[in-house]
Amino acid sequence: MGSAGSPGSAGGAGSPGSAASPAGPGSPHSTRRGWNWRRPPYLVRALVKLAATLLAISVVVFGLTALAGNPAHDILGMDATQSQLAAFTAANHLNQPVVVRYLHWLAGVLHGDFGQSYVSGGSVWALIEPRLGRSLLLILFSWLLMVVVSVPAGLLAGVRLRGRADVAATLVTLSIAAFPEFVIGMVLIIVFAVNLKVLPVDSTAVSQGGLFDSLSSYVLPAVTIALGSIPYIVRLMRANARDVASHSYVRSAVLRGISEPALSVRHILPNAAPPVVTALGLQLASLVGGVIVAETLFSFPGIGQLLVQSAASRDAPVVETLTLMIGAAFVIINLLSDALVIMLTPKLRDAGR
Amino acid sequence: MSITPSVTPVADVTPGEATGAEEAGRRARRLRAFLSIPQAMVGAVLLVLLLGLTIIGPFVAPYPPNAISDSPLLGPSARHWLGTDTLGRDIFSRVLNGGGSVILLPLLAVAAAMVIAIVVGLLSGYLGGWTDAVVTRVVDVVLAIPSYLIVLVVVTAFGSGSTIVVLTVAVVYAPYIIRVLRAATLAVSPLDFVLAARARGEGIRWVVFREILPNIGPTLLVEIALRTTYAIMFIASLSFLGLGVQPPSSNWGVMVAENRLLLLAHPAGVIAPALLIGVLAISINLIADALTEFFGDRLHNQLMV
Repeated sequence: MGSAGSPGSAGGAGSPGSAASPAGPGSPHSTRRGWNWRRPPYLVRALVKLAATLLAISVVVFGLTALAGNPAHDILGMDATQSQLAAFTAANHLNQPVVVRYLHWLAGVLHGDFGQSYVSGGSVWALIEPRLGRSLLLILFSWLLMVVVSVPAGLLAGVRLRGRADVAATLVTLSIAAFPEFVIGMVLIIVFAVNLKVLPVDSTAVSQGGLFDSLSSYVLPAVTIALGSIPYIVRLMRANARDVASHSYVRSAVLRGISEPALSVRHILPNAAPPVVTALGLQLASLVGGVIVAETLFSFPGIGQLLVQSAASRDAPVVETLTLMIGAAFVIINLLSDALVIMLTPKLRDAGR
Repeated sequence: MSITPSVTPVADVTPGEATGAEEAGRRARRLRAFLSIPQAMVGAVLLVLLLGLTIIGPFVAPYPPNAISDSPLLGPSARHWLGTDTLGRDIFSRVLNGGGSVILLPLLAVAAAMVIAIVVGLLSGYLGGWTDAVVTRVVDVVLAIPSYLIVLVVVTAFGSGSTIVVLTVAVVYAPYIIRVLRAATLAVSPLDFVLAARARGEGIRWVVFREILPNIGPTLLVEIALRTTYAIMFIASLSFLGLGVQPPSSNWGVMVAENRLLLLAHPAGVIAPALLIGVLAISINLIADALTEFFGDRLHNQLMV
């Protein structure tokens, strides 16, 4: 294992032993005696990995759009004159070599200047800024909803394996998992907005007033996004709880006469949690997909909707910026969940320092 | 050790087993055993029904899918079982015509992803060393970017359309499969039959595609089924977002997108295609579930790397 484990493998079985070995035999805490160049502290390795991943993402994103050639025709339309095309090319520096453009763009991004939109001509940040807060709030709501619903449900199903709660949870999660998010959202609209008339059909109201003025407009999109990820977390939690429940210390706790809630919360949850914590971080990737679909479905004026609109109108600077921002957020959250897993697992905690 | 150039996996995949009557009987027995799992049976029946609908549908549809057959927004009637849409096209005929691309595009994408992943994943797991290190790094980077973002960037660069979407989804899904196949290869590589093949001097192509590949078959099958489920939902969602199949296609995802604004007055145009996408995804989900159960023990042993 090289500098650091991949996000997915951090909770796996192989990492504790292999992570300890480079420290050398007989000196498990070599860092106490000073800086070890061959194995810098976890934080340093994590930051280097973060920077490298972001750089890779920026190269891929910029390279792909550069590979496609000059977008002037796609942006201005087929009946644009030669001089209009030339003006567009010059205004966006498209006549410069790709490497120069990339470095220029990267320097701008590092200074907080994300460039100009091809379509509106205004700054990219001006397009993103009003939408960012709303989308973050939406993601926060759906993520919390996901955790609050799926962790207890999975725990209950795993502890009472093959009981009534387990069968119900399995059936419900399997049928939810079979439908794409836009179909789930459609069903929610039909039930709650059309038939029961308790929630708004779309979320356009979100753009009026302050961030918290139209909370009812957040409910259906957030539920749609959460339902996209809940089945996965429930099944993972259930499988982990089931594995932990088969250990002898759980049986001995049962024989001591411990109540089921205490058993679940004190003995099974802490031991079943680490892989789920990793997954809850990784799941933000599919939340991004959910946000994109749900914002389009509910006409929610957030960054997901902006992303789809910009991709459809070939507005590369906006898409590049949003991709880089979401990619950065995703990588940082994965690092945080990795760190959390290490703190939650005593074996890893001692080895990883 | 170097990679043998121009490896053609499709030609090498064919297992070198005799296809006599005995072999056919064994296959039939295994199929019956598989279908005795309830999920497999239900999934297979649903899938056969949907395939039938998709194949026969275009021939029995009362109107051409894009023809303006009547005045717009008619309710369900004997002439138009599901009514007509905003342009006056018969919704029932469009539903009957719309399944082909919903099923075919994900299959193409998964097939392409499989070809990439089998070559890269098996060689990476078998060769180890710098090949493996490079592959693992690249896979980690691609997996670090949410799939939707990659598709959106590609669409921004090259425009939308079904070809672009199929190719991009193949590239996006390949790393996931590479990771699974690499792990399975690592588990199989040190086993005796592989060592024996190497000892008698077989080349890398023989060892990888004739010894290792047939023995990770269960992993491969489960992965194909799982990835197909994801691809169906992903590509349908992309069509819904307007990034995949383009109107006036009667693709079910496109139909949901174009009829959703009339959901209140005219729900049939949304509910019918959405339901069919759901049934398709459920059927393949059930089959994937049954495959996991069917190969359970063998798969479990392999993946305990």
